[in-house]
Amino acid sequence: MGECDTPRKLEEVRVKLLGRKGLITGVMRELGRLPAEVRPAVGKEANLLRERIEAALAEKKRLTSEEKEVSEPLFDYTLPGRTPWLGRSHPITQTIIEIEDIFRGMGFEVAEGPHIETDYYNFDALNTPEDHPARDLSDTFYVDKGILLRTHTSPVQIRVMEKKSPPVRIIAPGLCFRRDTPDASHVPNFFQTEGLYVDREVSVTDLKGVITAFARELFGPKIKVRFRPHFFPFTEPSVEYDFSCMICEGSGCPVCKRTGWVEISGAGMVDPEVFKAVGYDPEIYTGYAFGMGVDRIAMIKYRINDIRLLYENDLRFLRQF
Amino acid sequence: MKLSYNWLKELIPNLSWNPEQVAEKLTMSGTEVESLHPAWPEPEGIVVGHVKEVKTHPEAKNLKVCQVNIGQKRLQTVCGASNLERGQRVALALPGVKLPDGLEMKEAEIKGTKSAGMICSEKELGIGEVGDIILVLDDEFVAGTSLAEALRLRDSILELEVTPNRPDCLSHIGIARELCALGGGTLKLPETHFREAGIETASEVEVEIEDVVGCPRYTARVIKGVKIRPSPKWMALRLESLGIRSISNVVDITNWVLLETGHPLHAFDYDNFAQRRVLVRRAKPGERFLTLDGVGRTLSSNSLLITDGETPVAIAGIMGGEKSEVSGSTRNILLESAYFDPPTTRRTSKELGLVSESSYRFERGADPENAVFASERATRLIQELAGGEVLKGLVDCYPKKVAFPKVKLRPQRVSTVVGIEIPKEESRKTRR
Repeated sequence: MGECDTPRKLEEVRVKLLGRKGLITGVMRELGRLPAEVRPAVGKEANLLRERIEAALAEKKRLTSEEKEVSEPLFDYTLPGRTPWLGRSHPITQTIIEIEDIFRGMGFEVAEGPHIETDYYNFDALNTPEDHPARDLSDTFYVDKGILLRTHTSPVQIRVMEKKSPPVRIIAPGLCFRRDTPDASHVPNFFQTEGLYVDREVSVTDLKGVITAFARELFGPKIKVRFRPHFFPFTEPSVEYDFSCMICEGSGCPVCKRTGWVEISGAGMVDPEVFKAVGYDPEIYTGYAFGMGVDRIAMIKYRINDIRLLYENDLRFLRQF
Repeated sequence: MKLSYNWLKELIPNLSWNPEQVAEKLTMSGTEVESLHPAWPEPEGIVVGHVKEVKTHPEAKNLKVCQVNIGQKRLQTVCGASNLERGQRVALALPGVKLPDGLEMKEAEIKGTKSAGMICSEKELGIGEVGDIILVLDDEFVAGTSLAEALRLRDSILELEVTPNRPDCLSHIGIARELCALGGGTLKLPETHFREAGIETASEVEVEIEDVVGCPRYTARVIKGVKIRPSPKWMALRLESLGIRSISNVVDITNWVLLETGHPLHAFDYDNFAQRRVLVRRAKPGERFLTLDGVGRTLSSNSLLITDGETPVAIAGIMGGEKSEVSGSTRNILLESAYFDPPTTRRTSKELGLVSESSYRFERGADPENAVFASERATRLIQELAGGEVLKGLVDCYPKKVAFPKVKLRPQRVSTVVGIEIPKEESRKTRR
């Protein structure tokens, strides 16, 4: 038994000893012929021997079969195949693609700009001089003196206008950074989409038209858009615009803080000072610019109630889109 | 910025809009109203009581049994407050009433004596911090009147987001003006009349401005013999409902006028001036100054100081000094109403990391022409609430008038930018 290294050899030993014609079996079978006075003693001995052999065989079998199963695994060829996991676009990417598609359909091109900007592009050229109260150090990330992480996508306006003469019609989606403490509606890095249209005789009515058309395209014909006067250094006049709440349809819910309106972002007519900074003649050209909170739009579209979910990269969340 | 609806209503007596309508009109005209909420809890069933009789409780030395007149009837109530006296007007919560902190009033027996209702402290009423003594009301209040009515607790607070281009909206008068322009009514400015007496102000104080860029205008008045005491309840409660802690009548008046007119003022204890003069100058690099918040600050030459000729008494337009602060023992006051230039104020405020209601307004742009009106309004209130003798005349140091930019409006440009024709008549009506 000691030399047996496969189950088959072990089986041969078992048959030889305990099989129907085996040695031990033979002893048992011959018992009847023995004299009655020795029969019990021999029977007892034979039984003990058989038990010992069986135990030894079982132990040896356990040891040899362990090795065996590793080298010869059982494979069930009838099992169905595993579906490979496919990645997909992040809900923000999906939203940006959708925004881009809508604006491309209205004649806009997509432009880009750097995340790390200079004071000049982020503030000065946008009519926000050093001493302006709108320029609060407190919410800007500075990389170095005069170099910062852009706080909005508006610097792209300047970069595009510096290179190109009117007409200009662009949108510029991208990341922006502000020193906000994260909560359900703020994160320190977030997505905006800038829009800019400069030509002769561009007016507020064009701005209202394009924003309304965009809203209807994205959320359906029932949506309402509201414009409220506001202030930005780089537009005059300026507005903030709201969409009617698509979750409660205007009847009031926690998302719209029971007002029936969800603030999307700001817009306005490009300030003549901005045109002067890029060498456009404000007497010849007028234009509108608008911003758009991509996260905000994604949140309304997919009914997400906490902006942080968009940036945690939790697969359980992302797999739902 | 927080606004009181009642205050707006006082400035526009014929205002026909309710708080919700005011909020809507302001939001749609560019000054977003972020929230609208009641100024105070307004529990029903708390009335003014007149304490007719106070006796010591037969079973407990530190309890008192009082008979309180509440108009139609009298109630017997047991009270343990140390400041309770016969003849006082107090706030009495009637049986069955639930106080803001959830405590429910019941008729009970306290050590064998019947007691109905409870005489309340400010804290129990949810209108202040004082909890160990009862609230004592002014004698003019009529027993039985509801407390909310007597103290005018029923008010709505509007929280506004004023954009940086509209510093003129950083006050109740400013917003009232805005509401009038939107068709809400007619503005009625508050009373500014007062009596002058004694010597000329100019013979009591001399004003000199060294830096006319940082400080184009400085006006001063001197009021002698004032009595510093707590403000009347209506003033304290309104200030507190707008987020400003009530300190004393004179300090509260400067804050009141700031919220009313948008013009920051400062009242100095004039006896702490070493000389009878005001000198406005730049700080020396490294000059030290102790502001009234108790913090010692090191200044740069960017900072503008108000001094008594030698020693600084305030950082111009930002914060006064601890030494010249109005205190309980103050008798004579120098009232400053000045105009400080926005970049100077802003730079200093940033350098020191010190923002105040005053610096917030000066750095956005106050109105130099508003300085005299604000000074007169404050003087009127000081005379009314703190007494004293207002010296004759205002010392007004205004070397070079601040020029106002003229804005040219081109109708053609308006229609190009807006995209629709605006008839001349409508345009004129809107601008009026």
